[in-house]
Amino acid sequence: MKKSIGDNEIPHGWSFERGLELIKQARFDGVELWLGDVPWFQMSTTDAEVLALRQKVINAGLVVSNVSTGLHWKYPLSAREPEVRRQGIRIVERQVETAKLLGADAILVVAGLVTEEVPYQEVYRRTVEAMQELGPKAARAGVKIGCENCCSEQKFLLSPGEFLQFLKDVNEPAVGLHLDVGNIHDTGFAEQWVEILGPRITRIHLKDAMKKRGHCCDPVYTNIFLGDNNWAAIRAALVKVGYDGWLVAEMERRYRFAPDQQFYDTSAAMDRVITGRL
Amino acid sequence: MGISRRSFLDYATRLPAAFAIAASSGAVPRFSEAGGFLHAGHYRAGVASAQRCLLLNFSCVLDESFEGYRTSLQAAGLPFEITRRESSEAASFIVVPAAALTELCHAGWLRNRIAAGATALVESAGAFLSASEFRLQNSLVSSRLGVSALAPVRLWENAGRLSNIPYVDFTWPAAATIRDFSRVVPLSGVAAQPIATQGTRVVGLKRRLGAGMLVYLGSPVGPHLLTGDHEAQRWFENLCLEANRGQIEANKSL
Repeated sequence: MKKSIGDNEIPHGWSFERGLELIKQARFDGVELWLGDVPWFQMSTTDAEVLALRQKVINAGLVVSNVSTGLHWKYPLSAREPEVRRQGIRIVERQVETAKLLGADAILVVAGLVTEEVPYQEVYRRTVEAMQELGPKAARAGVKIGCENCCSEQKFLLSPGEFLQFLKDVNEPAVGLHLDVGNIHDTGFAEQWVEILGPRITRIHLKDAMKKRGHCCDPVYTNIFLGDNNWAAIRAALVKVGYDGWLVAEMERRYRFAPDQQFYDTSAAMDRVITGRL
Repeated sequence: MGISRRSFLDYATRLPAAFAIAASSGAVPRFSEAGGFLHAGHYRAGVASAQRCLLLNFSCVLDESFEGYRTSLQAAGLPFEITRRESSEAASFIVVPAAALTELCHAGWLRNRIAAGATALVESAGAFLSASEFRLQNSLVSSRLGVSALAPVRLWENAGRLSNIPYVDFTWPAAATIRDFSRVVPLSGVAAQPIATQGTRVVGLKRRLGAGMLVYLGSPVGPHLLTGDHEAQRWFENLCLEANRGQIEANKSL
């Protein structure tokens, strides 16, 4: 397994190049680029500029592990407004395009957002339809779409069985699960998601969760090994299903001081997960 | 009028022979000469041409609403034709999902069809139009169909309030409670009878126009047909029956 971390973790005010240097020094193998979340990588970023980003990543001795985005919180694929849905689709298409330019073969999508206003039954159907539209496009580009399990925040696809059924309904080989082992909280156990959805996992986000502290507020997330995830069980499940892909750190809580230290600590913790020294 | 699904299907099977023949024909959908789309249920003018159903795409702005009505008509086994333009043929039931009714010819055509005895379900897309389009639609609908609309209301602007009740209550042709669709268009009409309310707002009404009936909705039902909402389906099934009943009465009066 290889280690990556998001460029949105780069301390505020740092340049992309300086951030890449830190990521390399902290012994990561790659970087996850977040479309729309960082100044250097926006929807308006041109292909030439994307290629320049790739060169910077290469110059730093890294590769791009995948392309993610938080834009679908604002432009859900499941929105009632057709215009919003169209923008959501366009964002995924741009993720696919940029992934190809960056030499990556996976993207992360927050697919579907249930709210008090837009109910589950609508979200499910629209999201399946959106993925059926996007799946073939991604396949043609050689890119996998990983739908993330933001269970508590999305209020959608809350269990591994439900997620499996969703992927079966989508029925597109290029659409899978971007598993976040920290997002499961008190609705289940990450290792069971790994077992049930193993071959369909495109990437894995690593973070820990304080299961007894709430459902979706900031305090619920913490650094690897500080929360309630059973890391030994998660690792065993990953070995069992033969997952040998990218592990991508997603630290939702930042160090208040010495922000660069979080990169070194996280990288070291990921090494322990990978090697099983738990 | 309340009716069970079983009763509806039973009733549907007893519709005039042309319905049944057309519905069982299994014809592959194909484009019609008029630029429309012919479905399994389509049949040529004949003994039962009065029962013809048209599903009109008058600049429909919510595809899923259109799909909702299409699949519901198909599920009910009712013959229908999809078209994007005014049809010269008679129709007893006309469904216009999420319409951007901004063309005079469309509104005039609808009025004439209703006056001739058709039942028309017109779903306003007012809440999804630009301000200028909404004004134009309102003007046309008011002058041609006698229905006035107030500015669309966004129901969820204060999302999270405990007082948000996300349902529209229908009273005709069947009592039904159907989810709102985020925005509603409050309505009023000349000699119109309210059939749906969201809180204190009238968002659906019916009114007679000549020999026919206009059913005008300011809150889309089509998307809920697509998600399989039982109440929405039951409401629409009852409306189909009302349309058929209305046509029979209109024929008698001729």
